[in-house]
Amino acid sequence: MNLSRWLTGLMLFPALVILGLFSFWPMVYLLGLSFTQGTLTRLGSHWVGLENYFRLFTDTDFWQVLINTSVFTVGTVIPAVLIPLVLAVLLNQGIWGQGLWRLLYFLPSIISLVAAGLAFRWLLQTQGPLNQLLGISTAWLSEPGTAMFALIIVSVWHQIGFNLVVFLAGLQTIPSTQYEAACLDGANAWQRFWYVTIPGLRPTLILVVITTTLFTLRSFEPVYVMTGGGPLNRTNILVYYVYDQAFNQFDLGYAAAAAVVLFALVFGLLIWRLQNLR
Amino acid sequence: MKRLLISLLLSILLLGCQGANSSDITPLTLTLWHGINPPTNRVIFEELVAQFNAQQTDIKVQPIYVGQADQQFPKILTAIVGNSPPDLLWFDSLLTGRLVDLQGIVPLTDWLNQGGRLANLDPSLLPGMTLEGELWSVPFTTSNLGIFYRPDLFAAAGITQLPRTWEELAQVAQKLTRDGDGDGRPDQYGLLLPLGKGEWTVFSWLPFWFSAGGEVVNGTVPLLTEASLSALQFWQKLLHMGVALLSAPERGYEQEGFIQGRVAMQITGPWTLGYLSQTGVPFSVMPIPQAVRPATIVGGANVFLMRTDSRRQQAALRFLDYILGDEFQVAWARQTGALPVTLSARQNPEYQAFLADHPLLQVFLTQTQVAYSRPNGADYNRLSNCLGRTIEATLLGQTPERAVAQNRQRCPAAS
Repeated sequence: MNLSRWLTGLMLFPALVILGLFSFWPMVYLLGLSFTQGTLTRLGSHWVGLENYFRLFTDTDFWQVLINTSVFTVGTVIPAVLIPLVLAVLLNQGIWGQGLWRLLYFLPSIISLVAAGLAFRWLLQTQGPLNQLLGISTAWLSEPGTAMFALIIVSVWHQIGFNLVVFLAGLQTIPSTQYEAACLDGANAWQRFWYVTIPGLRPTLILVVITTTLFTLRSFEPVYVMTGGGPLNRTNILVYYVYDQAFNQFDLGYAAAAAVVLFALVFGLLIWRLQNLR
Repeated sequence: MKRLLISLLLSILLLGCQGANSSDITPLTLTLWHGINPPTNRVIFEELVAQFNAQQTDIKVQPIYVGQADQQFPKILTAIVGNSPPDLLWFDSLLTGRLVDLQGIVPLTDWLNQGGRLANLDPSLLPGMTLEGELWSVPFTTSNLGIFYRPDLFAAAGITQLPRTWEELAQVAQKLTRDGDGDGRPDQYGLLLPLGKGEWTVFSWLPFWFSAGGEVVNGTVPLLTEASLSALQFWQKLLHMGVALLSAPERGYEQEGFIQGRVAMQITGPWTLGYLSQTGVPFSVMPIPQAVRPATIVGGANVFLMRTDSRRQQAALRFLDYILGDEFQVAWARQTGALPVTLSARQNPEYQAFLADHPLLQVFLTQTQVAYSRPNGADYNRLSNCLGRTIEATLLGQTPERAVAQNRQRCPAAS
């Protein structure tokens, strides 16, 4: 027994070392960095305690970033879950060209977000194809009111395909007998969806909500490529803010504090959702 | 058997004692990190470095492309922290203060003062090289901003005289703005203004600030001055008149609109000459129109000598000498369209002949006499961010006074 445990420990040791070195140590280091001010060097960095956190929570920019992040996350997650859910149910009805539709919807998910961001930036130019088609001259990416909307569109567009495939897989796990029984009881299409499909999809739905939320909270590429956080900071979301503070403002301690807040936010959401799952 | 073993051991010892042949000496390899773009310029640079290497027996410079400016800094930082910096670093002089703070670079004041090196440099480049009384870098290439315009669109609008003042610029932009299809929206604007708070926006706006009489004071750009308000008001006026088009956020340098004729004028620099020539679009260049004095801004890149050991630093200085030499400066300028940084290279007959074939470059060369540098202290990025936000807010409708007041609170350094 002792030998077996010793062997297990031995086998796990290399993986634990790698995990510790490349996953946990950076997190610990980041936490340490968030209590310092300076440039990562021994020359410039010194302990400042909670000052970075104090600065963070008294900075109007940071609160604006938190609001932006919330708007972006909620604005993305709701349609990025509902649209593929409805599409999956429709595609699961055995319609013509089902495979082709699945492929078409999935395609955006395999396109790099940088490439997608560039394509949308071109589409949404003031004198670009979309405005020409609609006969308007909206500056989608330059107006504070529309730039976030444009980012949400890209993010939703990119996530629909993956969520659709997950929902389709989830739908296969619902026994057809449940639908037959519901039909025999006189349930209409909406009632079958609400009382059979949704409860049957619950674990899948929770998984999709969690992954979509986490993915959205960590979004960086669309902001970097399309708006640079502007105009007037209205599309500056937390991940981009961390990047901007660290590598444009060189304020590494402050950026680390913002990254810790992001981590706490993601971790908190994850725990909350996992508790709901139980 | 015993004899054989002894013979073998002796042979090995003898081989070990054999002196190194002079041809076996490995040259000292120096690394140079750079972010030269576009890729065609990178190839040209690598060829010029190869020419230097071919002339050396004991040193060899290895250029390494480490990405665009914003991708470079984390690598530089990590390298300095990890005590493995490159020997030479090609970067914007704006990084000087940060590198000095990190004690990552070596001052070059004494070296530049020897052999007439400093006297041979374009004087407008000195402020960008100087910090706290020392010279910290060697200029690699220089440029400045002018206004590129479309002569065909000027002719179509009946404009025969280039604008020389802000007022004339506004009038010309108005004539160039037109609604061709009568749908109530202009299809062609006079001028493109860069939207965003990034460095390009600040870089494009500062010539107007300098022209309005702005002066860098103690390494900062004072915001609450007549010059700031005047430059901000002018850009806003162009928008209010409906004669300027805002770029996509942080993309004020993109030239698609200019090439397609959606804007007739764009603020940019000589590095775009090659690209624009390839498009076949008619274009020309004029100096930036002035308010109270002619002004433009210094661009380009510098090379820093990183803190390594004295042997490597001495070797690296030889390469810096090569960069400042006419051979390199003229070849680089001829092949890329960049402006030489030394006065001797500008007078070089080969370069003069090139200049005669490319007269647009003369506009930028003439402007070097009125080119001002941005501050290069450790806090420049923060200052730039404050300026950028002020400009962006003004472009999006806030009054310059209010934008200045808000950003003064945010960054007192700029007040």
